[in-house]
Amino acid sequence: MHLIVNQVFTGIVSGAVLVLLALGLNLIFGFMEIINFSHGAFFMLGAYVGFYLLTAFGSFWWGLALVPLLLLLLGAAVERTLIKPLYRRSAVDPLLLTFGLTYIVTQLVEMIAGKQGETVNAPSQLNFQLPLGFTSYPAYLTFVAVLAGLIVLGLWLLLERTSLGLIIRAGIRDSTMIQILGIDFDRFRVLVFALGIALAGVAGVLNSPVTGVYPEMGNDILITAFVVVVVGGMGSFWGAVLSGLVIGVLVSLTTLFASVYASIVPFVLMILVMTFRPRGLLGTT
Amino acid sequence: MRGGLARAALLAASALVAACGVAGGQSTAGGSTSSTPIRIGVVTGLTGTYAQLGEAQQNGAQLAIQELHGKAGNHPISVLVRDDQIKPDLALSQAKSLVQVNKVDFLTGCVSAATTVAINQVAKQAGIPYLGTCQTEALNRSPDFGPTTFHIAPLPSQDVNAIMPWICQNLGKRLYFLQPDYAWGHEQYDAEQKAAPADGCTIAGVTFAPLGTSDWTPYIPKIEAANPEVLMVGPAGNDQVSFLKQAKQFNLQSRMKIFQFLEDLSFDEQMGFDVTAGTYGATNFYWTIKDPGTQKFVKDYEKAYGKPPSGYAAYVYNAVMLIAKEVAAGHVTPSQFSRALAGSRFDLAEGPESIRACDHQSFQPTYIVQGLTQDEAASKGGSATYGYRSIVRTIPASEQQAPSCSELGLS
Repeated sequence: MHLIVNQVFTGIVSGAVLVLLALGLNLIFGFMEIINFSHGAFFMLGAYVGFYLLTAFGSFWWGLALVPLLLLLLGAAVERTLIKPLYRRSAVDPLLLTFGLTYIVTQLVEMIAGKQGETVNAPSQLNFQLPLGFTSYPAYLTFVAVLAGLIVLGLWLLLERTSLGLIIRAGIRDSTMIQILGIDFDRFRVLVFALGIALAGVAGVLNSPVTGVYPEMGNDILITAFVVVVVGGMGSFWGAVLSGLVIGVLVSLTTLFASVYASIVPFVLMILVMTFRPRGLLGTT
Repeated sequence: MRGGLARAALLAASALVAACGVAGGQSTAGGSTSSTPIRIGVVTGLTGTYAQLGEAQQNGAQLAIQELHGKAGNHPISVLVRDDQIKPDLALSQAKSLVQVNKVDFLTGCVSAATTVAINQVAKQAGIPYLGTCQTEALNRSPDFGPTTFHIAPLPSQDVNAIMPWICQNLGKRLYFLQPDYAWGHEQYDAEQKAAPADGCTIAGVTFAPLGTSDWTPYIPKIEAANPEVLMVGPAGNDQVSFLKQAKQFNLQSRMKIFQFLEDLSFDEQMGFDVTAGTYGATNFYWTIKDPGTQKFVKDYEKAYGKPPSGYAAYVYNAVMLIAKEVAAGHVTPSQFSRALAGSRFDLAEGPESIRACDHQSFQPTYIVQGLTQDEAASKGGSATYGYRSIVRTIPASEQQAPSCSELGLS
């Protein structure tokens, strides 16, 4: 029993980074109707930028503080220069562009930073075992889960309690209507895209002490992040949160009992959801 | 409607992602002068989980050509390096391209048991020699063994049989095995399952994890719950690095001995002294080995690349040097080369080695190394920067460590 509780907690912590990634994807898809295939590349970029800031300033915290701002600006620049010209074209065009962008970004990182990757140490302030009653758990991983929770809460408050969030939610529901009502939809598109990219960057920084940084790290996690979005319900905020945590826990428990099947669990779940509940766990029809 | 289109696009794009591969490649050609140049194709994993080993192999190949001044006897000699991303399908296509387009005379390189079989298949079909440079049980036996197939890295079973008595006598008897879930990991465990009980150990459990696993946190509680005395860490490359770093976060080292089945300097560099100190590992090359051939190789590698070499650099360096030696001696055709190399002895980057005649399998010592603290690195490890390990045991090569020729059906 103790082992199962331990494993469930581990799954929740593992799922936290997936939740952040999935929320960014969901925001971009929900508001802009764009499937951002470059999301994993920005996750990886965030991790690398965090690594270089750590090297420059000698502290992990600088990376955590600055990466969201830097990726916010980068996301805005990408949206303005690459995505914006495609708005009046086929829905597939932005998908293909972001797909190509993934390879370009990955190759550029390989050329600049090398192919091997780098290791990132958890901040020394969190380099201890935290007694949690039922287990002792690495403090840094607990911090990741807590911070992810705070980011989710902050994002929810932004969407629910601010006029910006009101417009974003309205745009997700009916983008045509808010344009008719005279809202500068274009301005909010850049904001939402940048916010989604910033979330990917934060997820990358948080994940870097766990997995290290390497050029392919975004590709590895992106597919799972898409599965989280689909299982939770495309465009559903709490669906992405629930789905990320559920998938994290299911993978963790499968690892305990039948580890060889753990990697296919997200996809089995996706097939089941798409078959029996196509709108996702918390998606709307 | 919107959800359906998005879902269809998502699935189509997912299939596209799964099907696509970036067929990157690098070409390094030496000089080309007269009419009989010798080209050696090196197919290795320059990207992916074992990228550090692939880079080492590329470096080893280029260093060998540099030392040969691009000549093997009267023949200009060069290497062409291709990245297989440790994907067997890409290894196959890269090897075919080297054979059909670049007309290479020899193939070598690999960092994965999955890709080496594919490269060897191409070499066999083309009738050219292949010198496998990574651990696998496949190359010295049917159906993959052939007259021009050579394996100049150890069999996983060789190393397992070499190290298991020492582990059971010195570290503990209750073992847990963490293995990568592909050919090499299963080959390791097949040998470990037999060797552990024979040497007085018991198996507390085994877990197979997919190649490329980066989040090991779900695996650690299970390992802890099994309460082993020794954790045998089978994964290599980035998998090993990420596992041991996460194991350190869980303070696993304080509860059990950690033994890395494949230790390599490139992994230690990524992990750092904090993670490697106090762990143990097995290797067939370490840069502090007191052998003249090894020390020459180390010195030349340090001069070229600014740091000591990894074992995987030594493998491909040896491969290129062996090819050059036989070509210079006039053994240019595949059959001449194979007859000359089979049953031979040589002393290159890894010290004295032999190649068994019946199955073209190399025999080399195995070393058990122990991780040092940063304070000990200079005095016990030979370098304040790279002195991650000291050699605690040298296990000579022995025919008893590998299946016999008759067991392989090759006597």
